[in-house]
Amino acid sequence: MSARTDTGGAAPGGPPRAVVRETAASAGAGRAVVRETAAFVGVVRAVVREAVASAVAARVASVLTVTVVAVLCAVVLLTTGRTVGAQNAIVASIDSAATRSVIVRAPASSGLDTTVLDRLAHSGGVASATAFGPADDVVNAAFPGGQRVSLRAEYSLPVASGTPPTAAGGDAPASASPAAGRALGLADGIGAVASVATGAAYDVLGVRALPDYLRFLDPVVLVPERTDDVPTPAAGSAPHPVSVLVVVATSSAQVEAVAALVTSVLGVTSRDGVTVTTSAALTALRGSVQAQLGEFSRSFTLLVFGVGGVAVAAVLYGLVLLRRRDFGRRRALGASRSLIVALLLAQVAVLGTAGSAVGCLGAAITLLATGDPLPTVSFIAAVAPLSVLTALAASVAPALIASTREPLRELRVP
Amino acid sequence: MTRRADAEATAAAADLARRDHPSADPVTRRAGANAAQTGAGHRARSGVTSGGPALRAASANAANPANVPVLEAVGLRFAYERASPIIDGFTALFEPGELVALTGPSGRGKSTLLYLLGLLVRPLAGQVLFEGEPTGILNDAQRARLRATRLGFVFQDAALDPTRSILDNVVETSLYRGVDRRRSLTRARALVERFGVERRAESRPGQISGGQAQRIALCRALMNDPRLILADEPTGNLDRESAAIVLGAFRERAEAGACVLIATHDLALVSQCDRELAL
Repeated sequence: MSARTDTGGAAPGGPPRAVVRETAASAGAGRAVVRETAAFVGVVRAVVREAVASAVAARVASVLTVTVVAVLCAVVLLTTGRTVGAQNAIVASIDSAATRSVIVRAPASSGLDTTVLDRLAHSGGVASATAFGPADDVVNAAFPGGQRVSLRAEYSLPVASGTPPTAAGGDAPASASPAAGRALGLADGIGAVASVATGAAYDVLGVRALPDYLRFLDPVVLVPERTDDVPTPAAGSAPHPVSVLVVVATSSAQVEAVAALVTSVLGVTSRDGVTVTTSAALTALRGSVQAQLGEFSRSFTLLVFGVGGVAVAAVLYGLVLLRRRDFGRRRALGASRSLIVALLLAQVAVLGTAGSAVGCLGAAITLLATGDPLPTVSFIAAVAPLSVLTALAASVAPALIASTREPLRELRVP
Repeated sequence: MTRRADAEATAAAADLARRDHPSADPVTRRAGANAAQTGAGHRARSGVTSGGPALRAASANAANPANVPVLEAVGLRFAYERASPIIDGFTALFEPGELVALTGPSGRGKSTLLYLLGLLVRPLAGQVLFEGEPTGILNDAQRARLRATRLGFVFQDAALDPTRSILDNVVETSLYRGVDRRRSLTRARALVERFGVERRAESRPGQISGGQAQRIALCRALMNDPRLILADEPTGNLDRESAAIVLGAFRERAEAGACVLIATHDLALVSQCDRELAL
């Protein structure tokens, strides 16, 4: 008597029959999906092909549709796009260090000194920190009775973020601001100045335009100190007094936090007369510019797209009226309503894409030619498909009207 | 609406069966046998089990699908908006291989009836059965599919797309049938060659004569080997030679098992049809 193993009816060594059936069914389902997908792709291709052929055949209507979409795109880019470009430029300008600066003014009695730079150097959110010593009145060394201008020592240290000092820093020679150069009578900013109080002389070897956030020091002669001259507590040497400290935050959003940080690490002996100023007004201006121009841009864009959509709908409605016999014939010959809608929408998609390309290109060339600010690539990339979508949305109603054309009415010969 | 129409159609058919009426209102001038079949068809559809030759014929048809009538109209009624019905209670049966002339004075509803039978409009009441299947329950897409695959239309003025070439016009229905265009082009070329318009294949409809346009429309109608051809005054604008070509094509198609229904005033054409339905 031999043992019998149930193989599920499978051939010896092969998989059980149930497994074979399941695998075959799975393969059959897979083939069906592939067939259906291929059929769907075939239908889409046929519809697009027919839409293109119809667009080519109906030249006047096609040119009108392309023109409307192109104008829609161009108007948005030449108006809102240009506004956005200008807005970006304004915001970028505001976003310069001016809006990100925190300015500390401290009298000599406060005890603020250059050690504050060392404390700030390891702080997050700080892009740069520059300390200025007390003002020392100087005159042109060649004209002792000449106009007085303040001279300040300038201390800058790279900070944790690695951003280089915003001022000259290091061992650069003294330089005069343009206003100081004129007041001192220095030709091209070159000459020598002498301290009124001590008689110490300084060589001035050039004019240095001050960034916006240092304009409050103007007119001034700045004497950059070597960074390794700045004493640290570890070095044990006496620090230099500081009367003005300018700290620039890494972003506008960090300004408040950096101001609090600066206040906490000042290390002053007396807070009397110490003021901490931030560019809150500029930050508010930035927000206002973004909000108001942004709102205007959005509203105007919606208006333009709305008007453009109505124009596209009007053109397509006219097209449907002109082609009502065509749609009636198609219906009679077997086109379903959904196919008529698909054909018209595909036609609009093709024409809209062409129109948006023409409009974007034309607007970009116009803006480049006139030197006006160009909107960003992302803005253009958003406007182009939005125009096509607007045209498609506007064409839904005419397409539905086209799909309901009754062959009975359209094909009857009077 | 559709359900009501179906119910009315069924009631009309049952009524016809009870009275054993061979044919409803349209006058059947010739082919009394066809009229008898019409009644048989109605009885079969209405489910009346009275027995007799007609029912047996219906049973035989059911056993052999090739004998199923191509089209049945049962109690059709149609009116344009608020006007009085232009078609009221139309009942008829159309068999495979038949060439049927639909005649009547202008305005009597010949074209309207063609559109009703061609599933282009829905009747206010009554039912159209295509190959034994009620069409009232079909949705728009299904009716469109049926028109594209099983029906062929030839309109009075050919109704070609003036912006497309002749070949494009002939293969137009391939899109609606979901058939590959390249394959359709091969058949379209063969058809235009057969009907002698191959030299104008790339022309626009505006560049050809009325007779040629009608032949193109015929090619288009034959692309799907239709089971039913509906022609509205197909020879109205044609010379004798073109009319003969069109009629020959219809006859050939009928011999292949299709039914051809022609609305016409052309007595010569009527005389060559198998029967006439006068409205």
